[in-house]
Formats: sequence, structure tokens, C-alpha cells
Amino acid sequence: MLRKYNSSRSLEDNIRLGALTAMVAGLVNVASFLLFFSFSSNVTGYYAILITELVSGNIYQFAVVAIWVFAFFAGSFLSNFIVIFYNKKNRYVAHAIPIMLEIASLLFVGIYGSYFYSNTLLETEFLILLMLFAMGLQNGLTASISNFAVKTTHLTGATTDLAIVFSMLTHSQYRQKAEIRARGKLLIAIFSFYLLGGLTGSLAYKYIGFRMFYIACFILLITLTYDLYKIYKVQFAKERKKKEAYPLGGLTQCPE
Amino acid sequence: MFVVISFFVFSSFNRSMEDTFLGSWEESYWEYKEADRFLLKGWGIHTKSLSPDQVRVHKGETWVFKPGGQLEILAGNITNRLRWSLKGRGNILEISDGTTTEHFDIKKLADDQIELQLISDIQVKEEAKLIFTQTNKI
Repeated sequence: MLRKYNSSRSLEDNIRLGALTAMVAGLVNVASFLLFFSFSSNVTGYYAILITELVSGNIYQFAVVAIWVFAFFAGSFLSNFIVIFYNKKNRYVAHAIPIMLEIASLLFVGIYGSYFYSNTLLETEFLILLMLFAMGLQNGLTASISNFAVKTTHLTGATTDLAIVFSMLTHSQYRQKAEIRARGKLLIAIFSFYLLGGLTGSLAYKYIGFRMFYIACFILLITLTYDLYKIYKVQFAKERKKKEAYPLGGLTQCPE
Repeated sequence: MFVVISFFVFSSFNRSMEDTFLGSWEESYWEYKEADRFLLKGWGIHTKSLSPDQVRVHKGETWVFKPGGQLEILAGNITNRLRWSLKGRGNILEISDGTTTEHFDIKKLADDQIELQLISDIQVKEEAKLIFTQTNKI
């Protein structure tokens, strides 16, 4: 999921990454709406609100929304920055750092909300900012490592893409093309898991409130550890092969 | 740097937003009506009505917003104690007695007047508009 980059990624890699991160995005978006009456996994609406607030003369609200939009931008920027600067040193680590930062952000929201949140506007605005930053990190990472094939925090583009795929499938010429069917599968996986995440979030909100963010962190932890397991498995297999080829640790026996 | 700017903007202005609410506000105008813009209404599909456990009907009350999120709603001799807070970017007022939680879109917030629009369940197509004028500032 996280080890591979751009063209070396298979459809399965993208589906796994897309599904898990879309579930997190759906959960976080529903959570932020239910808890704070604001969305956090996309910023399209905020651009419209930004202008509305400016025209209405609500400078404070304008500033808040501008900062939120920038938080999403900063998250995406940081993700891609880490990927392009550390990809050659250690690809897995470069791809894992943004997920770790996302876990840290969401964990903070969950812990703070559960034990310290006292319903003030200042806290609300900061927690929304953190969620937007986390979603920016996630979207920046998935888009960056999948060559823009996987974007999971908002479904506007995905809805357009799915509509295009479906319309292409009505034509026999395109129906045979494996890449179009693959794109359709990926988009359906993203949609399904985004909705599943949203459903999980709305159910969890009723029973566990802010602790629902732990579920998001757990899903992200699966995303991280899945590849870690694969890396160790490959390394272990390599070492075993090496040992079998050179049973004496690679030392050549000298004839007497 | 970004965190510092955010903290400065958030903390320097939002205190004044919450402060604007503090004090006694008397309901000077209220309007409850069934919205007639429900698309399927003409086809015989009826919307649900606001039930008492979903929302309270506020008419002619005095709302006293106190620091620390305390809200007292005075209606005649009865005083209801609730909690209040601002949500979103300060555009939503949430009031709750622990059982029923209501959300209002803050349409107008001035030193002497607040205009609120009830945000109801999306399946409940009814509208409630409340206008308060300040009687006492805390």
C-alpha cells in the first residue's frame, strides 16, 4: 500500500490504500459535522463561504475559513514535501510519515475532545483546523504516491470520474479496456468505504463521542503496519534464501 | 508560524463573539411555519412535523447567556437551565439541556440584536425564526 510509488503500484495497492483512507475520511467528515457543524474532509464549500463572509463583512469568519483552507493546503504540501525529499532514502518511511502525522493529529482531537474539551469556540476552531490539516496530509499523500489516481477525502472529482467511467462502459469499444474497468473498481471501492466510514462515524458518535477518532487512528495504523509486515516478510525471505545459498555465512571454504 | 497566526486570529476575535452573547435577551419576534418548498409535497408525500422531544417552541421568552456556557431560559415563572456554545466558525449556536440539543444558524449578531434560524432535522421541513433584543448586558 505505502511501499510502492507511481507506476509501480498495482490496482490492488491502490484499492487497498483508497478504501482504507476513504473510510477514515468519511468517518472524520461525519464526525466533524456532528461535533462541530463543519465539514473537514473537503474545502470546496469553504471557498464559497470565504467569499460570502467577505462580502457580508464578517472579517473574523473570513479569516477563520481562510486559515482552515490553508490548513488543508499545508497538510497536502507537507505530505508531498516529505515524499519528494525522502523517497530515495527510504520509500516506506517517506510514505509513512504523513500517515503518522495524521494519526497524531486525529489522536490529539480524540483525546482532547474526550477529556479536555469545554465547548468554547477557540477549541472548536482549533480542532477543525487539525482535522483539515490531517485530511490535507492524507489527500496529499494518496494523490502523490498514486500518481493522482487515489484521492479519498472528497468525492466531487470522483463522482465526475465515476460518471465518465460509467458512460464509457456503455460503449462496447471502451468496455473491453482493462484500465477503464480498473478505474471503475477503484472509484467504487473509494465511494463504498467513504460511505462506510461515514456510517461508522454517525453510529459511533451516538455511543462514544470523541473517541470515534480512535477508530480512524486504528484504520490508519492498519494502513501503516500492513506494509511493515510485507517489508519484514520480504526481508526474511531474502535472508533465508541467502542463508540457504551460503550456509557458512558467505565464507568460501579454502581447500587444504 | 502558521500555528501562531491561527492562534492569534482565533483567540483575539472569538472571545468577543462569545462575549456579544453574554447578557439577557428578550424574544421580540418569533415565527414558526411549515416550509412550503419541499419538492415532493405536491405529490402527496408529507413531511414530519416538529415533535416536542425534537425541539422546544420558544415564544416570548427571555434568554440569559452567562459565562462558562450557562444559559437560563425564563418563561413566566419557569426557569430552564441549559448549556450554550458556539459551533462551526461561530455561525452556529448550540443549546442543550442534556436530552434535547438544538442548533440555530446565527443570521445576525449585533450588540443589541440576535437573529436565529432553527436548523432542524433535514427530514423535518419546518422553519423557526427567532429575533432577540438585548435587555441587559453582563
